[in-house]
Amino acid sequence: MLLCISLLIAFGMGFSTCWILRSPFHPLRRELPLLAFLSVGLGLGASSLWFFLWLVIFGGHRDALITSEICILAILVGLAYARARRSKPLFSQPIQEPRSRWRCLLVAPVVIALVAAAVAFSRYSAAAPHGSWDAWGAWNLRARFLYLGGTHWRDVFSPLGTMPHRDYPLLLSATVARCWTYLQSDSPRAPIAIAFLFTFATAGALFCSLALLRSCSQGLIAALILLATPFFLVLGSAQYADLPLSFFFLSTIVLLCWHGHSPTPKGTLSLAGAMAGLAVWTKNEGALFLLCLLLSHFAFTVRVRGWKSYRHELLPLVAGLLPVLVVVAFFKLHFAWHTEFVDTYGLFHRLRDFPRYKTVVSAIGSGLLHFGAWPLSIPPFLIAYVLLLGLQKQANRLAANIGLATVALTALGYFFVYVTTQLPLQWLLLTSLPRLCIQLYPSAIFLIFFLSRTPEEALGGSSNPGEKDRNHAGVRALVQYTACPKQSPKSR
Amino acid sequence: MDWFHSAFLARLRITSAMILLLGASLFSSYALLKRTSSLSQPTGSDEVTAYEARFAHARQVLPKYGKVCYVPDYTSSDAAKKDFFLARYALAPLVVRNFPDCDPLIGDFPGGAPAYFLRGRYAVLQDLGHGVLLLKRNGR
Repeated sequence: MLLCISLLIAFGMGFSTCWILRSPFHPLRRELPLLAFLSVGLGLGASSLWFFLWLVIFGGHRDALITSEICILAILVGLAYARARRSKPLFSQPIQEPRSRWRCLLVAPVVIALVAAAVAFSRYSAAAPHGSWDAWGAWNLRARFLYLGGTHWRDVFSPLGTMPHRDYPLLLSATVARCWTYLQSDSPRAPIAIAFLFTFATAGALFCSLALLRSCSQGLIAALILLATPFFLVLGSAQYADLPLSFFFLSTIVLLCWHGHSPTPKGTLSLAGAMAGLAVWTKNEGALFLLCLLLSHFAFTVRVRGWKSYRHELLPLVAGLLPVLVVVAFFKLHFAWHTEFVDTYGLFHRLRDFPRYKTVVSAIGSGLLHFGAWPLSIPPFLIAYVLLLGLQKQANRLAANIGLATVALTALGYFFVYVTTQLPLQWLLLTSLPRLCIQLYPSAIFLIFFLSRTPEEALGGSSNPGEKDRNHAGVRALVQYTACPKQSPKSR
Repeated sequence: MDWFHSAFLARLRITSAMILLLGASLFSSYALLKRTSSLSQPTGSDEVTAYEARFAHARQVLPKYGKVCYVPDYTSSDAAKKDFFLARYALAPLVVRNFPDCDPLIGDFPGGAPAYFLRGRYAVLQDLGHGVLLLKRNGR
């Protein structure tokens, strides 16, 4: 019960924030599930930041933490309510998406995959309630220091012991410790519940975003593939930080694509910035992702829309990012400035060591072929699917291009971290490459299905949803958004 | 290329694509269920819970905070690293140092304490059961 309350308070914070930052129009019924799934990560991330700040300010005195969170939630709900009262309906009548034959055919397999995924998750969690090696070796261990440590919680960064990943940010550990504070016990139910939420919220956000921006059938196919990926569920139930990180990567890219279709892009961009910031607060890889995102956003927006538009978009993005980044910067400067993966000593020697490139390329090739522990290799299936259905020729592909470039640059960054690492290369590839692939996997799936034609479009022979498929609710929404008189065409 | 875009072939292409993805996904879900069916075990029988039970007495004897040194079981060097990680988790928020250079020390010998290893180097302060010993360095 207390665990549910702690998670609900975090969810409430996230949902209220999403509501405040989203459009001043009444949200479409179709938007609400996506907002709800995004709120899961946003709420858990925001509450972990507050928990960390509480520790820094008040140390071991946690009695008032829950009261303070309830006060924050009340304020946010009040602001969201005021926002809802001021908003006006965008559509005079609710939009009904016409029933597609593909949609009806796809629902049953997705439900089967969802049930199988939930059963597999619960079996993995029952077999290893404390998670896998890195969970009890690092993430939950740090959570124990934060929760059980009282005034000694800083011992988690002690150089006296052999504490793992002292430089890693605290989102996951602080979230677990926060739930334990509510429970008054370090029960493994808390990390299991958090892992469950991140795993299934990722699948939910993937489905809802594609259902909103493309079509319901497209969302169903993407969710089916994600839920049927065995390693995605193994890693989810392992209670590692890679799945929360993949959630924040996906959310950032989804919100970027959504902002292109939104009448009030500022709020959506602020949310995207907050999600990117929470990725930095989850794992060090998040910092690389943020850098790649800012570079891609700069390159594409300036080239396509010019400097003025870039400045207009950058401001809300940074406004969402900055509060999280300030806390992360404080954490890094005071507790964890050193990273163990990149050592400048011998860096140039390793960069010139070409056999290392060969080793990394060969490991990545093999890793992609056997990706996700599928019984059958999935990349050829995905390539065949895209070739058979074709790509859509949508006019506004800027956001998708930014997303693609961000994912590609992040993958390139991972490549060079492997090439330049001072740690044993084979060991590092073996232990981390599948996890790094999973970090980018939901975003890659989203972009593949965002850019490929939907079954309805392919059957209709049109690659432009705006031309022939105007019955589709998502497209109608998009068209009406575009017709919104308050927005200049350039800002979109 | 007109034949490629004909309604029949379009339907054929889409149906083939769907069968490929749906088939692969459902087969994967089935394989996942089959693989995890053997994982079912009674609650509390996992290795971390078992390790925590081993260290339950040690947690009562040792201070709650501060630092303790750790003497791994050198007779099983492959498993020693994992044992250390498990011990560190079980004893948190005590900082466990993986070098026997401070007192008190926790000796972790899941297979029983090897007398030849302890002799001369450490004095046993208390046997905490299950192969866990509270030690002190000799000559200190």
